[in-house]
Amino acid sequence: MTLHTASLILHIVLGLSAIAFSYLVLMHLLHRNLELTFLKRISLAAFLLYLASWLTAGYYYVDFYGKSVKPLVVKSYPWAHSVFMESKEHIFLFLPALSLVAYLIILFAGERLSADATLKRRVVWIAALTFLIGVYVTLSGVLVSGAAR
Amino acid sequence: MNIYELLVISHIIGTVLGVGGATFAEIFYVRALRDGTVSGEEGATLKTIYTILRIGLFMAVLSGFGFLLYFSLTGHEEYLYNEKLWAKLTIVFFLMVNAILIQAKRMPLWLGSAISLTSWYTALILGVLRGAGYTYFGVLIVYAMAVLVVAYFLHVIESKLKY
Amino acid sequence: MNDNIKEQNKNKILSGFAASAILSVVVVAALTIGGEIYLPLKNWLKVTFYHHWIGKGVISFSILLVGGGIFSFISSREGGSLRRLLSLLIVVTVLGTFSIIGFFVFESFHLL
Repeated sequence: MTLHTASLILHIVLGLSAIAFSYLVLMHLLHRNLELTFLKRISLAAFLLYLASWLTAGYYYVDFYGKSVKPLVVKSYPWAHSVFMESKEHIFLFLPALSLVAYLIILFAGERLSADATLKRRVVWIAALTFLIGVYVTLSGVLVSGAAR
Repeated sequence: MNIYELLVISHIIGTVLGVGGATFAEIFYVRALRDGTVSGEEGATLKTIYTILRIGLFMAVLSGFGFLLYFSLTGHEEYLYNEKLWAKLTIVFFLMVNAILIQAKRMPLWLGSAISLTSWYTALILGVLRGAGYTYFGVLIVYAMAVLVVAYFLHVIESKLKY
Repeated sequence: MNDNIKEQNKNKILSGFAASAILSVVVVAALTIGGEIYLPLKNWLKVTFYHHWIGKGVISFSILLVGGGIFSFISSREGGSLRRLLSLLIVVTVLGTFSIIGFFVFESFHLL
């Protein structure tokens, strides 16, 4: 196994795990009684996993994708690169910001969330956006990988 | 044991936990609602089942993407454009969004339960079915009809079991 | 009174990072679309950071962390301000996402 293959595998596993934790954060924020300690841990895990996925993606993308994968993708299904890879690589950059904000709110204002419905609704939407963007980025990745023939 | 076999085992375990969890969640929920309320004990049982279900979902999704990566790295990229696969991915997405909407009390329970059960069984069946001829929209249309049929049967069962 | 001050300081930190997240999202969207329309910008990112995507990543993450720290000092102490910033973050993220996808769809199919 090459370093590039290892970084791709890590990127996917870390990214999927981050999205899974974002999903858990969203589900648990919707509970009536919030388990704050658990929420703090999973929201921090989501943020750190997005960072780790970002770093592994960066190595694969900068060092390998452009030279070796992109020409194949562009040859078979040009839109896979020009729409899905291009949008995915940039929208992904929103995820650390969103997940960090969600974590900080749970950390510093977690006790207020049960009483402050407006604040809670905002955090729920941020968690939902993080999850949905994560799903888009993942499915785009499947389209790009499938186009590299 | 090679990587592919490991992925198959993980995916099967995840699917078993998910399909089993969804089935028993429905059975215990219908049973709990016979007297009109969900007691503390019944609620705790359901909570445990939902936890197992989510573990199953995570295992199934992670191993599922493991398959896609495996196909991509072994020169079988064309599988990633399979219409049946994309129908399955869409249904798993519906399953996850459905769970969120039920939790947020934005989904009526009669429909949410039917979507949950149908989604798990459809994903299971799609994973077993071989051969060509399955189109993305064809699968989703059959899935949508199945949701309504399951919703009807769940309603009949619940009505018959009420005290 | 001590609890009140603690709450207000927490609001400042949260508002600060909400503001820096908003700026980070806006800058990523602007650099992405701007870099495709105005190639010298993309070239500058490539020359300065070795790769344009690394540049966007470094800039967005720096804004998020450093900006978060700076904005925390100057942010308001009241909770209402935090809620408004979070609303803005949601709106900006949705707009940023659709702008980027929409731009690349239009550019890809030569509609631009």
